[in-house]
Amino acid sequence: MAEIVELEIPARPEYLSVARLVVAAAASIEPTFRDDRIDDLRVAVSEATTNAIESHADLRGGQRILIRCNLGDDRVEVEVEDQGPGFDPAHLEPVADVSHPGRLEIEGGFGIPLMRTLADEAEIRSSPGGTAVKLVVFQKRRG
Amino acid sequence: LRLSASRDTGRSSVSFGIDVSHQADWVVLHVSGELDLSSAPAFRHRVVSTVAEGGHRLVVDLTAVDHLDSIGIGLILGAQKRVRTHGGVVRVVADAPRICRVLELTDLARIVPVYSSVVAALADGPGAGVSTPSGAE
Repeated sequence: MAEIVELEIPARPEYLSVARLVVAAAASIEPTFRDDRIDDLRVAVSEATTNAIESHADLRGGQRILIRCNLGDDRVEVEVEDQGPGFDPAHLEPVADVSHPGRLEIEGGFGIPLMRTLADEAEIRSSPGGTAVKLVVFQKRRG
Repeated sequence: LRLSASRDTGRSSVSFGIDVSHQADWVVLHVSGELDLSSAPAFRHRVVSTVAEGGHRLVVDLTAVDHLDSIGIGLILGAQKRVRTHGGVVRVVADAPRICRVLELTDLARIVPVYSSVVAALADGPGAGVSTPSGAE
């Protein structure tokens, strides 16, 4: 039976470690979840939450980010929701291969690809009112 | 279970730090804690000040880092870009599987040499990771 853990944090970088800590601790409750899968989850959630925090960078006020952790028998599902301006995930600017000399000019562009690699499933839904990222990590890596 | 972190009371529980040592003509940045969006300004500031002081051959020691994500990868790339303009080089040291995995998945090791110890990084030939200031390999 699924159990839910919800965490709400201010959209500030100082709270990023809190998000990672809570999600990893929640996943650790299931003793059969291996450490390497929890590490995958921790980094994937960090990427999603980093993007959520950065989406609020130009906004004023006390925007908050909701992180919902759904603990299933064989998986952990995490949703990260922000109230930022949103973006079109289908039209992300392509990033040059890391070996291309021009790649050094851009420090960013690693986050979403890394998140998609580490999570078994990653879904991004975005609108002008905010973005929701759903990540699924199974006990055993798939694909 | 529902948790809510307060703006007034929330603090990062993992301290971040950078200790600097000088070995031969290398500057070794011993990074500890979590290298992420929160610690990025401190790391960037340290690299900028090190380069300004003439340190163009950097070893970034990640063996005491608990967490590395894409922000940290970007910071290392940024350091590489900065020292290259002075003909310098960056080498990375990492030994923990969770850190090495991020380095591998982002292909960083294709442009920044990665070693398992500071000793190994310093012992490698002077040409490893060195490129022209223009960035062309």
